Amino acid sequence: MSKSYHFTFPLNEEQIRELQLGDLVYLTGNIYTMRDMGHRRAVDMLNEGKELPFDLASGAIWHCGPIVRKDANDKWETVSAGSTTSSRFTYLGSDLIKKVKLRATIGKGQMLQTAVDTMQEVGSVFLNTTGGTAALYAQQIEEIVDVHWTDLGLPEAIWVMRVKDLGPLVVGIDSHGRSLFNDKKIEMDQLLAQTYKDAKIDPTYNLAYLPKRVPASGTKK
Amino acid sequence: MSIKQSLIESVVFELYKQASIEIPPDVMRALQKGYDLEDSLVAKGQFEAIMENINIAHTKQVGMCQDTGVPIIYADLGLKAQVEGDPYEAFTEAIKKATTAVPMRQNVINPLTKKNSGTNTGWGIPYVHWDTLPDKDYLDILAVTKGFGSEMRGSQCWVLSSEDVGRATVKAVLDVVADSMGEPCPPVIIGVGIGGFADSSMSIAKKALFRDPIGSRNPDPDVAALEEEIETAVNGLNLGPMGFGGKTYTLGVHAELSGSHTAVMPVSVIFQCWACRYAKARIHNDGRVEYITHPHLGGK
Ligand code: SF4
Repeated sequence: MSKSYHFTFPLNEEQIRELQLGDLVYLTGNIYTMRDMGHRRAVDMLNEGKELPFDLASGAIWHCGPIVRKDANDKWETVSAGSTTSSRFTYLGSDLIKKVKLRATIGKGQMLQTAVDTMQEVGSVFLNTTGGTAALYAQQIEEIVDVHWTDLGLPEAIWVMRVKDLGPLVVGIDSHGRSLFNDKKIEMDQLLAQTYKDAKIDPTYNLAYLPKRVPASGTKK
Repeated sequence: MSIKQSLIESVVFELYKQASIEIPPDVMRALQKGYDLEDSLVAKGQFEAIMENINIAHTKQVGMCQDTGVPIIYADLGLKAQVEGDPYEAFTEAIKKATTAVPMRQNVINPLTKKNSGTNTGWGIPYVHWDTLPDKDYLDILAVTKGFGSEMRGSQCWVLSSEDVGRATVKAVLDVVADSMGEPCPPVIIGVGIGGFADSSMSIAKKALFRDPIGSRNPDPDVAALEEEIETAVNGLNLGPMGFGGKTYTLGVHAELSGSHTAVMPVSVIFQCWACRYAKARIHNDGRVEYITHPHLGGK
């Protein structure tokens, strides 16, 4: 039976280690949106020994590029904010988790095995949202506190958002080496084998002529 | 009598507003049907979040998903209609205006310099598919803005004519689904292009995503049988909404066929996430406008 947790930032390792796959989490505090270009810049800066202009470790990364607009007082407000596909951040994201001891990453879909291993090592989790439900999550964002790196374009900027009970977020990767999508894949592969059989398709037979990579044979004569 | 550039602009603006905020009614019905079919709490919960989100977007008049995509326009011009001015300029201006007024996220960048135009236009965007309608005196516009979580899972393979192309098509879709799982935000619509050329094959697959109504069948019985088979096979993988498990991964498989080469042919697969952002209108030569996908909104 999955449990429910309400956490306020900052998160500590003990809290994270307690979470099991499938548990529900609600988060309160400041989160940082980060997409492709933001990840690249953050990792490059840390590799060059520079400090980030924001304290990632005090909150969580959200794979999200919100729709924002300026309100009547010229202050940024969130219109819609939901997750972008997280598998894209498997490698750069894992680097960041290690470098800043990040405890939580929020996104959609999956992060691949490298991230699962990193999260186990560091004590970190991946939290799944429902993909695309951005009007819903916008209601859980109280305020845009700050923004960094707008030169990357508004979607790629780092939006610092104060959220209240952001959730329900499903623990999709826990800190014990388990991943919801990997488990699902194992189950799916069995169903897939039967489906191919029923459809009279030999799964080992490559019906597609292309794409394929044919290695050269032998040595140059 | 003619269709003026300024009218096209105001209609396309209205279409992008409708598309970003309001789900087409037949998609909502398909989602409701998917919800009713599920018996697990997890799958029902995903559908609930999606449907609640759609209601919030409608009530607050905000984008239903933050990824408001990249604009594509399908324009079918009746050969008895007369257009005054430059329709491409009308499309472009409408999108610029919708980007700030709706608002839509500023998504369009130059792929090499990564400069963001800030307007969702530029470097060939909006991308327009023009077609003609003999004997008609109207202009049909289907305005689409498609998120990239589902777009980037688009895939194409080439099958030899010595093979069973039907089997290859089923395998192509199953393989793409098995590789994508929850990433394209299922429940999805799956577009399939069988035959054609490299570009036309993906084009017919993509256009099939917007078939009205969702889940309807191709009139060609061979293609319809494949649609049916693929739909059952894909939903049988127990991936369900968001890939967390359940009965409805796809709301409909829409396949199109095109003549191809006697040697080898492409099979193309593309997804449309549940957040279907498209809207269609018909502009008559006398200036009357009919809103087709969202008739309940009326437009102006
Ligand atoms: S795949 Fe669709 S629903 Fe999901 S985040 Fe992208 S645009 Fe939104």
